[in-house]
Amino acid sequence: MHPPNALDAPNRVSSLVITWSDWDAVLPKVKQFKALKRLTVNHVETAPLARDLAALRSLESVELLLLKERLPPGIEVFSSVKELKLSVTWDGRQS
Amino acid sequence: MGWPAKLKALPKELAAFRRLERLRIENAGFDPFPTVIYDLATLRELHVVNGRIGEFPIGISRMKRLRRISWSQIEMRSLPSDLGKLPALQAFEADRGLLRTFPVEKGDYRALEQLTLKDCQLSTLPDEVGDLPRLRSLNVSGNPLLTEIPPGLARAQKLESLEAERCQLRRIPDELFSLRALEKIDLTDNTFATDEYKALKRLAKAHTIDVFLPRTIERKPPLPAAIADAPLAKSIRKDLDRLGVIASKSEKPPREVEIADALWPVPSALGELLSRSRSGREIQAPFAGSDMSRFSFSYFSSDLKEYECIRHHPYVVIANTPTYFYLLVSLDEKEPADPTLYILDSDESTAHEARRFDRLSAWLKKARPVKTPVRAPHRG
Repeated sequence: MHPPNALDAPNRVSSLVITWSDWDAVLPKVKQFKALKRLTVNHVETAPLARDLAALRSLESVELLLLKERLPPGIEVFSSVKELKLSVTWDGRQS
Repeated sequence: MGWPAKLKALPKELAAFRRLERLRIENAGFDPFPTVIYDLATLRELHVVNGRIGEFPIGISRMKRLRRISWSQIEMRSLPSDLGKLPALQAFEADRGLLRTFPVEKGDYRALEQLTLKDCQLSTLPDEVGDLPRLRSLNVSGNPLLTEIPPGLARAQKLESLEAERCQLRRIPDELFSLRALEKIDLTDNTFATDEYKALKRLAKAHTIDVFLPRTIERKPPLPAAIADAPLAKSIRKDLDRLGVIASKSEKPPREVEIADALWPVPSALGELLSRSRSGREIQAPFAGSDMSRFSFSYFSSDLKEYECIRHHPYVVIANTPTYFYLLVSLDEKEPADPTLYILDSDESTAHEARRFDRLSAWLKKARPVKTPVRAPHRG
């Protein structure tokens, strides 16, 4: 997760990079990420995206780095963004 | 670890992105292209990087706000048939792809300002590209099959920049130089005939346009047949075989070499010697009197450019020593089957003087193969 202390002061985070397995830690505080504008998710799997993510109302840009050849169900939780980046990489991370 | 999978499809839920302005997809494997993208009415920029796109269903022209499209490293042989009908498209970029043409119909691309078709497989550009009313920048660099800029481009009154590096252009329409808005023409790394090159140079001087011309390449006249076709002497071939100085099966003897901005015809005997010299084999042979020295047979085009010691035939480098000397060979018109050897001291290379010292046949007879590697000579 970057920044590593994002969960300590989520309301001050404007840009967040996580891996898919970080959802468990992030989701309980998702409503507190009120200033989050850019979200990058590495290692995206094919389990459905949580509906709670729609609470990220300031989000402008989402980047999903996929391991598989399809998107996880529930992508519409990010439907308010202005920018969407989708990449399939060999390890689900930025090269 | 394997090659990444390709994104094969997009879900219909993407249509719910009613504010989306920029979409970037990396490693796409679409066939057909997902039409849900056509429903993104607010999209302004679409970037697809790496992958493959098969068929394009009609409908992309529904994207009324789309201003910029880029396809980079996409295996895609044709464009959407209604691409030119996109009303707001200002920039279209395809690079490192397989596009062979860029069709333009009357009234297409009314808003297009920047057209980049770089490092593709274009063999022609339609004359109608000159009818794009807002075209300011055209980049067709890196299309090695492209031989012509269409005369119609001279109708593109707003054209400011034409980039056409690394093509095979034979000529440029003179009328282009009269375009009032044109500021830059880049023709680097094309090969024009001498007359065309001179004409371009004159036009460039006469206009206030930055013209980047290729280097001039003069082609020297052909050699008399008796010299051009004389084979290498049998005894030389035999000795080269004995020393392991042999050409690879894929190596064809060069018929021309570039030295000092000129293309010189290469006689058959020298051509064979050059193709064999790329073997890199080392030999021990007499050098400058009774000394024995090691030579590495090698030939690089940079060596050829370095030595401008040319009068009536090119000297060409066939071997290097580890001690700052180069072995050059030149054809003797009286004995074309048996070239003459010269030695060039690399420290004195600016003087362009090479010392004649032996016939190739005589020198090779005294040579022996060397097994241990020889170090490349110092340059500079």
